[in-house]
Amino acid sequence: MGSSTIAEIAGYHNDVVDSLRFYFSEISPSFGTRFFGRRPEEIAAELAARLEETDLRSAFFILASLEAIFVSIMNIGARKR
Amino acid sequence: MEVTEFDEFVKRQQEAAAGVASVDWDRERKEWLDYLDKLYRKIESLLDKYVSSGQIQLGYRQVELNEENIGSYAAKQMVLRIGPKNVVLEPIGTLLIGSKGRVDIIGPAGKAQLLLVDSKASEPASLIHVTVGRAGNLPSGPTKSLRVIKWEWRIVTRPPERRFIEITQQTLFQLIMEVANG
Repeated sequence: MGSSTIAEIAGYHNDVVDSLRFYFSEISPSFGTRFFGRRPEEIAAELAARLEETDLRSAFFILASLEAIFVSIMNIGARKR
Repeated sequence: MEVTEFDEFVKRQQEAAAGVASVDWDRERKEWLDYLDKLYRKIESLLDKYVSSGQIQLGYRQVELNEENIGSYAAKQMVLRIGPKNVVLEPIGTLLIGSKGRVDIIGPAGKAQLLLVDSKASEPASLIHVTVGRAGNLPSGPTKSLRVIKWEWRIVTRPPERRFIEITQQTLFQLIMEVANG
């Protein structure tokens, strides 16, 4: 995602969210072994934490992309002056 | 979305609700608490030498557990005091993935798990069966085993290996030392 647009970041974010939801669902092939001995509440809490972390990462990535755009605009402005 | 698809969805949800309603949750809770007592009695007998000589203090505390469908109930938590260190056997519950009960052993240096599992199983993977559908056919549903499951308490090794180990004096001592000492 080196020089991603907001739409690409959103697409990537949605793919990760969908993948996580599938991975933590009962239809995932590894569900039984991965979550063996766990309470449904624990699994739901772990999924919520992963989704929150994903939100945070995407938000940081958008902020970093915006910062890069502002810096490049400022550099162009400085060169014109 | 087709109407028949929605019909099937509603039917599946009704079947799921009927399945939940047909379970005797009081009996499930009682069975789990009986197995918990059985575990505590086993640990008491394995530590008897140390408890009777006063080297280990063994006690119980009441804790409240809350599980979906079963509701809120009281369970016993075992506390071992070995010198300055406390090791707690904390009951987690009975409604778990693939297991009938879980107790976490928590000490100053770490945490381990005891699970109530099918005595014939050696690891979680041996309890999971996957069916695959071919050429656009849906996979057949799981076949119900006619075998009566004998539930036994087992120590679960750390991931990624996660094997079930029988609780013996040797394995219990090792586990207590791990969570108490690191």
